[in-house]
Amino acid sequence: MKIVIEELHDGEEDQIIIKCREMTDELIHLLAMIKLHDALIAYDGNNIHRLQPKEIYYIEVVDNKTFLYCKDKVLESKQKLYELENLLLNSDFLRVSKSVLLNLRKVKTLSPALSGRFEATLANNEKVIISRQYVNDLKKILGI
Amino acid sequence: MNIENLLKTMFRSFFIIVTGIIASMYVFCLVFNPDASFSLHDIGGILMMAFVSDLPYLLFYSGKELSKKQMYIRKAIHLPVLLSVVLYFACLWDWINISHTKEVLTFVLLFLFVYIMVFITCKYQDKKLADKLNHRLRERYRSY
Repeated sequence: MKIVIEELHDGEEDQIIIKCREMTDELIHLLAMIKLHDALIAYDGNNIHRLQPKEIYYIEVVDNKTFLYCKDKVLESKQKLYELENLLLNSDFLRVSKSVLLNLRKVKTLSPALSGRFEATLANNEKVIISRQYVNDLKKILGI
Repeated sequence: MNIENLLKTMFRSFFIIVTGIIASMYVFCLVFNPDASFSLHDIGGILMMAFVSDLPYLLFYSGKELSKKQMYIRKAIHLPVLLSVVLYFACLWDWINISHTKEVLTFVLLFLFVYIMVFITCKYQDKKLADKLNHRLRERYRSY
């Protein structure tokens, strides 16, 4: 793949132009990676945080509130889970149950959790259950 | 397991139980009563037995995804509850005679054998899939 970097004139906005014959999986992933640099807004009481999606281990809805679980902190988001799911589409995030979006990049290992479900142990040793009805999506994303 | 998935599982298991009962009856009668014949009433009994055997599945109902430990605990409760239900109806419909210890013991052993075999088979399949998923995860996140 050829990479061209052009210097812009003063006042012009930074931009990335992709020229391709078709959008391959590799390109889609690349775009998702670029999009991942857009920070999410999260709250910790009255404090507002700008959070890179790559810092998030998983996102969970509890009692209609959306929480972003990071390595050693939990922040709240005002966005709904489906909104975050759309925002993080084609990234490393995958819906793994009705209430959880999991960052696959943070998964250390997967183990069976009975009845066709799986338990993901994350890099910070937290555990997240993958529902049976979402296992197919996981298999698809990993090319199985 | 939420109610929608639970009903789907119960619906599927109904047919698996019907098949299981017919296969077990065949083996049981082959050993103890090779001249046995079955009436329309018995077919109704098989369907009824499948239905009542399905009911203990309700133990797995949960608003949120059950953890691995919670699932094992419910599974441990499910086994004796299911065995009691099956034994009760088997006695009620004269499929077994409770005063014949050998007959009851064979019935219980047959039940436990099927339950354990299904459990081990599912666990083995899940373990195989987990290994594949772990392998793919490592491949994917090592290459990016």
